[in-house]
Formats: sequence, C-alpha cells, structure tokens
Amino acid sequence: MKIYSFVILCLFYFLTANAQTPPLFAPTKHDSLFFENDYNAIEARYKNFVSSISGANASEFKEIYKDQFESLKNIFTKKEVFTNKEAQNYLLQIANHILSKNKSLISEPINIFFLKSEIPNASYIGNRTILFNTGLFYKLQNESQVAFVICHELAHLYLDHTKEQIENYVNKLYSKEFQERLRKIKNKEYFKKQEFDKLVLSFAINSNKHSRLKENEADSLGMQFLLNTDFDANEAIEVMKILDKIDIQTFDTEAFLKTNFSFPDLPFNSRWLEKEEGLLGGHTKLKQDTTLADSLKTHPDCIARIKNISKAIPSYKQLKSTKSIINASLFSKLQKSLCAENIEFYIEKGGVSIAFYTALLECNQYKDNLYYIATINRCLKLFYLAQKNHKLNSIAMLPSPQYQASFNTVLQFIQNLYLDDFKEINNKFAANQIAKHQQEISFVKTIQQSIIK
Amino acid sequence: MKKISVLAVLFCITLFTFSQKKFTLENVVKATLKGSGAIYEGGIVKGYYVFYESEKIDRKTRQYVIQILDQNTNPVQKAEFAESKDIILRDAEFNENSLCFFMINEDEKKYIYKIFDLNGKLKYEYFKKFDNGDYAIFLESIKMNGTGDDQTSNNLIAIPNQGFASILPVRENGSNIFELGYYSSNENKENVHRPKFEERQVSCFLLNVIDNTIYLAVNKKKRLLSGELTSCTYAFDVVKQEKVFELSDKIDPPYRSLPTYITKDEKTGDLIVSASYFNETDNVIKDYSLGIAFYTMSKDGQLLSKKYNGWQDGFSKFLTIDEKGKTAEIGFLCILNVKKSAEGKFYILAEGYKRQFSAGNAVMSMFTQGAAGFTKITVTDLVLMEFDNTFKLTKGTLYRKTPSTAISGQIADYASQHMLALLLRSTGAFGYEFSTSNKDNSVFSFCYSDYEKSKEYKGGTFNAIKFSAGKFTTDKIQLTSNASFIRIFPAKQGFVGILEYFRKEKKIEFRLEKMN
Repeated sequence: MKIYSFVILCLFYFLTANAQTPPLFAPTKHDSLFFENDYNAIEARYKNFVSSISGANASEFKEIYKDQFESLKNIFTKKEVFTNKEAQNYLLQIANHILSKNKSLISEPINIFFLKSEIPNASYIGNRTILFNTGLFYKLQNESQVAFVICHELAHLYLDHTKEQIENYVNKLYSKEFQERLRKIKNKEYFKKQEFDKLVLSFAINSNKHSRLKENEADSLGMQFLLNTDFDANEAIEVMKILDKIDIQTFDTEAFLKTNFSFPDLPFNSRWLEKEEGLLGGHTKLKQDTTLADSLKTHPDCIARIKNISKAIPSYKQLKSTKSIINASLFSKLQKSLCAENIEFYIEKGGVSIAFYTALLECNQYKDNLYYIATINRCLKLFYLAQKNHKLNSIAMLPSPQYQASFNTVLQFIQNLYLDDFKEINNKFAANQIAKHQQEISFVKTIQQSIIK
Repeated sequence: MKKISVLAVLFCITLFTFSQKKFTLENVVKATLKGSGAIYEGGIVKGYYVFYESEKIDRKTRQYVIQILDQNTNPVQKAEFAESKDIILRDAEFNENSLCFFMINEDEKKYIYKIFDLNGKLKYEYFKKFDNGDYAIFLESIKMNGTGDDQTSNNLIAIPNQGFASILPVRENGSNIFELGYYSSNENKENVHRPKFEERQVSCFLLNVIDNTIYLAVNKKKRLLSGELTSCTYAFDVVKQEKVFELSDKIDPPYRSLPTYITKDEKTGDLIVSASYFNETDNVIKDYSLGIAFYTMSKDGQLLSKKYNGWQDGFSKFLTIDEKGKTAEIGFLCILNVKKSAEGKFYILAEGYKRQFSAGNAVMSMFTQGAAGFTKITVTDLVLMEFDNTFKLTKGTLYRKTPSTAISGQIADYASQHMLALLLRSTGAFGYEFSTSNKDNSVFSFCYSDYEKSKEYKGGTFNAIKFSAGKFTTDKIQLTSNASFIRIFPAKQGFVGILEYFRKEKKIEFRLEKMN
C-alpha cells in the first residue's frame, strides 16, 4: 500500500508539476477600496450626528458614538467585511426591493454589508448600517428568509433602537442615583468588588430585559415590512425555526472521523477519540442558574418569537409571493461560496479548528466536494506544523462544556493526536483522495501541497 | 459596555468563538507560586486549581477565591471564603476527592488546613497554634524554598480519597524531631503522631505515599554536631494511625542501604525500593556509596529479593564512573523517578550533582568567618537507566543540560553525598519537575526544566523525555515571558500547563502546551 501510494504521488507530481491549473477555490481578495464610498458616507453621517449632540451628558454620548464608530472602523481595517461584488450586489438588491416597497417608512439610504463570521447572526449597529453574517446566510434556505432578517434589522433602524438604547444607558449610568452608588462603591474600602459586581449585574438584567422587548418590536414591524414586499412572509417563521435548532447538531463527527481516517495500514485508533467526561473532563454539562441566565438573555426565545410573528400571517395572501424573486440560482451559488469564504477567513485568522470542523461538516453533506476534502488535508498539515513548533494552542481550541458535543469531539480528536499521527493521517488521507480523484488535476495539485514530507 | 449594538434576530450564539485557547483571570490582587496546581486522580492530571486573594472585606479580613478548572482549562467551579489578611498559602494538594490548602497565619503563629470538595464547598477546617519555638523551626525548615510569599513548604501530602498528611519539624524536651499530622477529608478527624527515636536530632524526607502509608527516610544523630548518622525507613499508615514498619539501614549485611525512592509493583503489590548502598562499616556522612541497590519487599517490610548494581559494574558501560559512583562530568546520581513500563521493564531517571569550589563563596567566607563556605553544589545532567525485570542494568542514556548552582554555604562544604541528594530533592533544586503517564504506562514522560544560552535563544526551557511505542524521544519548549513568575504544571497526558502571573496587570494566564 505504501509503495502504491508513493507511486501515485510521484506520478501525479510529474504530471502536474508544471501545469497551470486553476485553484479549487479562489477566495475573494480583500479590496480595501471596495467600500470606500460606503465608509465615507458612514463617517460623514457619524461626524454630522456627533456635531449636533448637545445638552446634558453630551460628552458621554459623543464618547459612546465614537466607540460605536471605531468598532465599525475596526471591522473594515480587520478586513472582516466581505468585498465580493456579486455577493454585495445581491444583498443590496434584496435590501433595495424591501426599501422600494416601504418607501413611506424608510426614505434615506442605508449601508448593508456581509460580515465574515461563522456566528449565525445579523445586526443593526447604528448609523444606518446593517451587518449580515456570512455564517447566517448559508444556513438560510431562500431569499425570503434573507429578506426577513433584513426587514428585522430595518425595523431596528426605523425604530431607532440603538439610539434609544444608548440614551437609556447614558441616562441611567449618569443619573444622580447611579453615580451616587458608584461613588459610594469607589470610596468603600471593603467589599468593593462584591458591590460593584452586584451593580453591574442589576444593570445588565434591566438593560437586557429592555433589549428583549425591543426584539419583539423589531419582529413585529419587520413582518410588516416583509408583508409589503413580494417575498413569502411565511418564511419568517421558518427563519425562527432554523434559529431555534441552530445549536442542535446532528452531525455524527465520531462516525465520520472513524470512516474517513481509517486506512488499511493505519486503522483508526480508539485513542484518537478518547475523552474524559465529568466535571473535570471538558465534556461535562455545567449546572447553571437558569433564572439568572434567562434574565441575561438579550433576545426572547424563538418559540415566543414565532408566536409573535404568526399574529401577522393570517392577513397575508401567500399566492402573491414567491420564495425567491431576485436570483434563486445566485442564492445557491453564494451559499456554497460563502461557506468556503468563511473557512478561508478562519484559517487566515488562526481559527483552524473551526475551519476544520466546518470542512468536515460540509464534506459529510457534499461528499465529493473537492474543496472541502482538500481543506481537511490543509488543516491537518497546519495542525502538524503548529504542533511541531508547540503552537497548536494558537490555532486549535480546547473542548469546552460551552460547545456542541460534535464540535467537542473534533477538538478532542485534534488534542489526542501526536505529531506523527497528524503526519500519518494527513498523508494517508491525501493518498486515498488522490487515488480516488486522479482525473482532477487541480485537486491533485492542491492535495500534493498538503503532503507532509 | 463599550460596544452598544442591538444584536438582532438571534441569541443562540454559542457556536463558535475562537478566543478560548487560554484561561485568564483578571482582578487578581495577589497570587503566589503555591497558589495553583494540578488536580490528580489515580496519578493522572484531571484539572487545575488557582488560589488568589480577590478583595478586602474589613481591616483584618480578605476574600480569597479558589477557581477550579477542568483538564482543558475551562473554569467549572469556584469557591470563595473569608480569612485573615495575615494568612500565607504555603502548600496545596488534591487527594482525588478534595483540595487541601495549608496556610500559615503569621500574626497569630497558627497553621490552618482548609479542605474543600470539588464543588467549592468547605468540608473541614483544622487549625492549631504553633507550640513555643516550633514556629521558628518551621520557618527555618522552609527558608531554602523560595522567598517571601512565594516560599513553599512542601510538607503537605495527599492521601488518595482519605485525607491529607503533613510533616512538621517540632521541638520536644530539647530534641529536634518531627510530627506527622493527618487530616481526614471524609470526616472531621485529625491525628498527630510523633515517632519515638533514641536520638535527639531527627529529620526526615518523604520517599512516597502508597495505599495510605507514608514512607519516610529518617536520619538520626545523637547530637547536632555529631559526625555519625544512622538512618531508617519509617512506614506509617496515617488512616489507621499504625506504624507499618521501621527498617534499619542494615537490612541486608554486609551493606548499609539508604533508600531514595519507593514505589509499588502494581501486579504483585510488593514494594520496590531503590537505594544507595554502602559497606556496613562506612560512615554515610563521609563515605561514598558503592552503587544502586534494588529491593523488593512485602508491604510489611519483609525483604523478598535484592539486586546490587555497583558503579563499576553496568554503569561504566555508558558512563565514565569511578568506584565512588562519581563521574568527572556529572558528579553523583540521585534517583528521582522510577517507572515500570507495560512490558515489565524499569526506567529510572536520575540527575547528577557535584560539589565544586566556589571562588565567590571563598571570598565571602573571608568576611563572614567561613559562614559562606567554600564550595557550591551544582546539579548537572540527567541519566535515564533501563533495568530488566530482574533489576539488571541494560541501558543508560545521558541527557545534557546546563549545570546550575543549587546549594552554597557551609552545608555544601560538609553535607554527605547521600544527604545532599535528599536535600536537593526535598527543596526541588533538581531540574527534574514531574512525570506524566497514561493508565498502563505505555506512554509516559519525564519532564525537566533547563536554561539555554545560545545565539538563537537565551532563557528557560521546559523539556520532556517521552516514552511511547517502546522508544524514547525528546522535546523542548522555550519559555519566553514577561510574567512576574511562570510555573509549569503537569497536565493531561501529552501536555504541560503553563501559568503566568503578571503582578502589575493583576492578571493570571494559564494555557496548555502539547508536547511532541
């Protein structure tokens, strides 16, 4: 088997060494000028708005808006916005359709971007700016679902929730009563930390209770926006169902690893998946104060939100609408490419264990997707190199009670492998895949680069 | 509260963040070297604890926190308690069901044992005032182990699933002896045992704890300045509060043997004792050992078998060694750990130490009436020896490391070869740190610290000699840090834990590094 693998590797090396073959996946190169106009518009709005602030606590307000702007600026400087023309135009087209049908409500321009993040989320961050996480986009099923998410964010914008929340925050924080409590704590010699922790907790509970109410408002108004469009409003409920189950992972990572990392001359070693359970094992279920955890939630439960949204559905005439009205095929194309873009982004930023897990997950779903297969190899090599230099800690997370069991299994697998295991598994997996996809020149070439000498 | 944004649509954001690669504690008012450690279960590292002062409660009281981390450094439990501001943590141990913290209240000259369960609940607390004069002896006994708050005592001993023992030096009727305290972690029960010896100057070193029994190497002299020393191995079951045996150093004439390590053969339950051996008539303070002996003994101390490996026998095959057991390069050998592999072979790790003339000390002695001494003790290289199942030496490998000064002063001038070995071991002066292993010892590592000074790197290193698949490999981690102190822990198999305390930033960082 070893000789066979070696011959295949050599053969393909000579065959492909000089060939100009396209890469399996070419991630979008970040273009810092792509959003120049948007950025300038946001900055101008920020400056204009800040200069108009006056009255009580003006400097505190200005400071917070400055922080808010700096956070947004950071997203640009850290290259977290996705500068792909096709994807950006598509997102804008959906947003513009919603805006065109809700002209009476929203007249001024907005800015909307894809944010490269695996977290399935979207957010209105103030300053008429919406961020749509790529990790949420590829978990949705159609354009109408994307449209509802945008409608929800537009509702936050229309209702000016960010401004309201900042006002609440500043007015509360700088109120005479709160400042007096803070001063008392500051002057205390004893129990300072305990008192401060209590104060912060009560502040967070109040603030998050307020936030949950705002989410319900945004859901209701967002539904109204969606009803005015040609999108299928029933899909709003589907979004909530997806979000409700987003943490439930049915992917059997253990079975996948056992199947794919078992070779005739290197059978799967049960040691690779050994894990400690219990309080100290990293795979435990921690007891938590559920009442407190509920009080600290910023969003209501999805089930409650479905009920809230459903109230608007009966009056809606479904026949008028379709699930995708802009470009269904582009939606599908982007779903696939955004997942790959996310993988590339995480690898670049040192989140290799996340990239590896995502590649396994996608590979399980799309069995012959060569990009995901090649990514598995690439990650294994990165783990090998990091481990060799005692830097595995910098690219691989450790199992935690906070993560899903399937993700923890993969993390445990990475932790359990010795340096030689990484090498052996990587090279044998590569040899197998090369033998299986001999005709795919680009793939073979990519895989060859992952072979550990 | 810096980022004020309205997160929309979703709260189910638990999927991924990739920041949790190390554990960080903020607002740490004070942390000490002994305030953190590994939590073991059956010899395997299961988690970690970090102890620190968190805030002032009143003029005399402080709030202290014990943070318990799982084996992947996730915080899983926290205990908080109030205690006097004058307490100093001297030692901490885990006994597989409880954590014990040994503290000293400097103001009240009192020692305290606080025992917590893994849920962070205080189970038992034992305390006692030092008797007159004993506090001074205790301070004297720990003065070689660091300075100030980082001074450790190394006298707390975990008795798996039962409780904790401690060895404290005490004075009784003009004699310097020691007492063995036992503090149960299962019920509110404490015992103190003071072994009786004819001699008036008695000290002891811990050899090991096996099945509730503490094995001590006891050195006895009639007078403080006496040139004659006798020794014995003292085994005491702390749970039953029964002496198991007391064996003289002349158990197998014509030799005298001074144990350096005791372990248990897991298959037979017998004890395996490694010892330096001498001629029966030798004075162990002045004379040199003849080699390394192995004895197997029943639990009650009956000699079952013996094997003597003279310095001129097997050792000379891989080391240039003289009849005194000394090599020009690495000096004498002190046995630090014994592992029995799954195949039945014994692997013994020893570290070299030698006495050298110290010009600096000699100059200092001119001004201190000789108090600074004229020599220093340097710890040198590591030697890994392989013995077959009959304890015959079959192989030896030398692992080079940078020599470092461990002891100076008069004690370096006068202490014997054997006494120095015990002293170096008890004060943690050797580079050897700890070993880690899996359940069946098919994979284990001996870990040690070193210092490197080369063109490429200058600083501390952490090293491992790893046994896996029947062969040994080595690995090294460079330890560069701006921390106020750095501490390396045994971690789960294949890993080491690195804790850094940043005093100025009031911050503790703890991360795991995987060894190759």
